[in-house]
Amino acid sequence: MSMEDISGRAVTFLSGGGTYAIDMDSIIEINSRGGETFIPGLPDCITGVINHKGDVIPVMDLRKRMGQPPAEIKENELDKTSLMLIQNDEDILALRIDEAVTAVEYDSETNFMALDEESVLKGFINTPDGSRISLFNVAKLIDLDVKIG
Amino acid sequence: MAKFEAGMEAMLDMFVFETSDLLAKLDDILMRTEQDELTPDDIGEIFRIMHTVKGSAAMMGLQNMSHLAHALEDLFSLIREDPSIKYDKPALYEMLYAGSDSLKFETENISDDSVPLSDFTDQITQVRAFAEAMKNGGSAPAADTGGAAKAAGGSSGASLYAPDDGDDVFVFDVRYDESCMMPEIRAMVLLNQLSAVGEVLATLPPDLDADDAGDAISANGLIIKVKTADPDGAFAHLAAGINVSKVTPLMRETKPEPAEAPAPAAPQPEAAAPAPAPAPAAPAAGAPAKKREDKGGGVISVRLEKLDRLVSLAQEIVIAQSGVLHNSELAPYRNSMPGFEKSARELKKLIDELQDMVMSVRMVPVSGAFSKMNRVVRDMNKTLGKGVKLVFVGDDTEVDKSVNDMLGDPLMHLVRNAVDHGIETPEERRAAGKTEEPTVTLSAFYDSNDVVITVSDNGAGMDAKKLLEKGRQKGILTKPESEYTEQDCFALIMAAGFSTNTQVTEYSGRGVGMDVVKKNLEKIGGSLSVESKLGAGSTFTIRVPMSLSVSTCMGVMVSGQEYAIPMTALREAFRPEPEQTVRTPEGREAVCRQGENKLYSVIRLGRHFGTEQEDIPLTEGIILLCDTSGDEDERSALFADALTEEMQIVIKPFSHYLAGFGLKEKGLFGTSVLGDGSIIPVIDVNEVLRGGR
Repeated sequence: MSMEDISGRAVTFLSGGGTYAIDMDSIIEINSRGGETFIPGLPDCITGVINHKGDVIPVMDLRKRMGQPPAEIKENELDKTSLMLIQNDEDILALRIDEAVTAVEYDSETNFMALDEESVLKGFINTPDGSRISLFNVAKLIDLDVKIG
Repeated sequence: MAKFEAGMEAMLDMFVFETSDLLAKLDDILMRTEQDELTPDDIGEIFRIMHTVKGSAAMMGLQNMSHLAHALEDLFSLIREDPSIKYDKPALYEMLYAGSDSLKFETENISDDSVPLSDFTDQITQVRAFAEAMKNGGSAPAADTGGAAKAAGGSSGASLYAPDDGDDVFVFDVRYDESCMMPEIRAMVLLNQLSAVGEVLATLPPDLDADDAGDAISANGLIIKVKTADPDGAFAHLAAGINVSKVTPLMRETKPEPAEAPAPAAPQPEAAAPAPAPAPAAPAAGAPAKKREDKGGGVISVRLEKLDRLVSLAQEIVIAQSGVLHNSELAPYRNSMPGFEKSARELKKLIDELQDMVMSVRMVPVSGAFSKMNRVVRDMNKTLGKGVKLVFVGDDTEVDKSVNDMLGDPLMHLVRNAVDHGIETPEERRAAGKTEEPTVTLSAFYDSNDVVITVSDNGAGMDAKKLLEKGRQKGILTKPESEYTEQDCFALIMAAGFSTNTQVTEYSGRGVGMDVVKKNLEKIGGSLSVESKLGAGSTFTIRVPMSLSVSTCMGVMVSGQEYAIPMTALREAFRPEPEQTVRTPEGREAVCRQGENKLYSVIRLGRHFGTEQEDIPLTEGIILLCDTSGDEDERSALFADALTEEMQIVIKPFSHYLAGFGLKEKGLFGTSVLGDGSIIPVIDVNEVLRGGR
């Protein structure tokens, strides 16, 4: 859709059965901490807050944000979900994802199809095995005025 | 465009800080000596203050301030030189106060480009005229600084070359525009810039801080001896200096006649045997810097942001420490590592100490905020003729800097109010048979985690009936008149739209006032209350947390989660007996206090936050009666499952992103990170009560 060349590096991860990616530039760290504190009065997909180096930052559950069913944790199985700390301008959020996978390079000349500015996705990354990874537009993802599903 | 000189932004904070400080000191001296004798020490001090203000203003390129300070400085140099000189003291003080105010105003607004630079020409003319009159009136000798300057100008630039100076030592003669104010200050800036390309060995005049340095430079130019490998660069630096009209490199063993020709390309020093030893005679260059250091007197000023960062770092250390020492992975080894436990205790002790220390750095005595009131009272005495005396008690009480900063406005309001409305006119006092001096007393002391500041007067006091009557007229009464206690009536003056003085004066009676003061104090978790006795005076009491960052909270359990409620908002907590609770047919719940018949409707916090699964009976939980600014607390009480413990916490507002979800309106202030790293939400009682109606 866009004429200009778009490229970058992104981290791919799983959530609710789909494979997604977020630009590496937006990611602060990925950890597997628990210990969320519930804060009443927040939207459904903001499940609580965590303490990140003394700052209180919100946790967004990606499944809930995407309107997907909650992860089923089978008995005798540990919670494998991770928190991906992402930053957009001043805002820092912890995104709860199922599992981080790997890092990919993308380039609109080879494997990337860009979407317009309106979508919560920046576009799609085609992988060698023929599957598609949805690359998030972080600003749109954390803006809850942007409806999904 | 900024008002001050380009490139001086870095100096701005320092300038504002220093100048404000000096002007405050000036006010102090004026206040102290107005009714008293002006000692030679005071005169010298005022002279020095003006001298410094003049200098730093000139350095910032603020000609107007510099000129005004200069005029005042000159005036005081007259008085200093001839202590017996005659002058009109009240007029002098008026002029000094006006000058101090003008300089203060200019300093405060320096970074606000919407406020234009003030024109002080009239004021300067007035000061000059006063000085002139003084000279003619008394037997004042003409200030004879010119002579000294002339004497200093006699020596030559070439004599600055020592025989053993290397060929990397050059001497320049720098001339300034005639219009240049304070060339000695320009010179210091120039020397600073020059240090980028070389080492300044000496200057003439030797001491740029000396009183006559400016005149000497104007008359004879500035001679700079510099050791540099880059004479062209040094020359370029000098020539680019502000207000520099001409730079001449002086040759060795040439006559020091300042050449009239415009600057030649590069100086050509005579070849000399390379002497590794630097010039031994270079006493002057370092002098100005050293003198400035002395002024510090062991105190440095630090940017508040840095301090805040330090405070939050200290808090993070506490959290990290707890993460290490109480790490669950250590649990199996707990009993087998006495050395570790010992070190851990030591670490904890040190970190505790660090935290205390860091917090104490921000503490300042309230005397600063108090002494500003001297001036307010003095000005009001002048116009109202009440001769009010201001007394301080406990002004060495320390509060957090941020608290101290916000105390200024409330104090100003209350002091003005006390002098204007509280204290009667001398005639009224005589008629009432009052013999004691009309006095306003400011006092400060600690009470648990709060600082209590009172403003009391021995004036007329307030008439509860009149207040009630007035409240009725203004239509601001919220309950039947018969229910108003005396205390309630006094509290009326802090309600919006209430002003007791029928005459609007310069100092009060704009209709806004007490209610705004009260609101502002409440915003930071403080409170304002009033007591009064008709005929004997009134006392206003400000209560603020000692530090805005740490507050005392009560922990409460709501739906299995712990929340914190600021202690200042709580009045009473109790578990109700069955006979204290009622339930209306439509399902609303209410409680009353033991032995009282007043019902408070119950707001269940769990239901308010939408977290309650099923209601527990009121008799199994805790009722919280609140103490807030609004009158909602008269009607409602909060209900929580249980109390946990009292805690000292640092309340942080929600981040920008979280605040966007309207949490404030839903009754949450923010959160606090506890010592173990966990997070606790803090309840805003006001909002909860408001939402409950």
